[in-house]
Amino acid sequence: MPKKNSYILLVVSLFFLFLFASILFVDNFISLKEQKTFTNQKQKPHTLSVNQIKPWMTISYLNRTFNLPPTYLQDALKLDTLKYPRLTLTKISSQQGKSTEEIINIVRKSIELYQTSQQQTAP
Amino acid sequence: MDIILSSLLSFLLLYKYVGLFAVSFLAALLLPLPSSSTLAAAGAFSAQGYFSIETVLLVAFFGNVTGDTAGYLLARHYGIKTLRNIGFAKIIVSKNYELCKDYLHHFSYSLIFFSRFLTAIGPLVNILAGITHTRYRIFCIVGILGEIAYVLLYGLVGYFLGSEWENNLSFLFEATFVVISLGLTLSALQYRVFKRMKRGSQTV
Repeated sequence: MPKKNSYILLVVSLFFLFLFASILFVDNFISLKEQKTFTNQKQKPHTLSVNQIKPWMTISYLNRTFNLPPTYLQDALKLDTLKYPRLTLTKISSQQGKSTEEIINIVRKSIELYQTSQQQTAP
Repeated sequence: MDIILSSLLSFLLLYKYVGLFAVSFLAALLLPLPSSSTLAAAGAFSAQGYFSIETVLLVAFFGNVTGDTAGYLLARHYGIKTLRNIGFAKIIVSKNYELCKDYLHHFSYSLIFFSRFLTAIGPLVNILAGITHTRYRIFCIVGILGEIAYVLLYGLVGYFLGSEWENNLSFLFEATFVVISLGLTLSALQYRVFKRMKRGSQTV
């Protein structure tokens, strides 16, 4: 094949690759919009659900995201370290000799308990 | 999610903006860190009120720009010397190196701009631009424009996805795929122009 033809073939292929990527992107964007995944931050800030808690999350992040009192998780996890609340759930699990799943379960249950108590006290 | 990203996210939550700057800087300088996902995560954390989105965008931008500039300047001052010392002296005098240098002098814009979106390629382009002595002003201006586009894309997509960011990382990669394929198409067209220019200068 002449050099010029192979060059044109390359440019056309790249252009079609670009078109394909754009279609894929727009399609995904539309489906995300339909599922209302994109949030209007002024109307409703995105909050985390307890099922989305991960081992890499820190206590200070969880306190802030779930609006917990500063020492709430400290009591729930029975932590007496000076590093609190700058601790990840992975670190806590290794310090306490428990699995991360166990720690995440404790945190989940504590947060759900707190949220229920808050709903009950709310007028 | 891989261990590196999990560790980086913990690092980000612990050291906040300093952590974000460090990750952006090191990824732009040389280390192959998943800084795009980290930036999207920082955007998502802003949506949850843990960070401020304006500060996240600014910090990531400065981290990336300083990392790029450091990589470029180090390569410009010590690149050729290092290549000679580690036994790659032949590369510097090769015909391909001259061709690459010539190409970068004329058409570095698209390469620098689009490589900002590929965290694995970006540092290599910075080093290449430094070694071949691409004009600093061009490197800076195009690099800054590329970083603005990159930071806005990843930071804001993370922000608007909020807590759903982890489930929609593919959306971000598709956006990068669009930018990269456009970059490749433009580079192929540019290369043709470059070849014609070379041929024209040889006949004169």
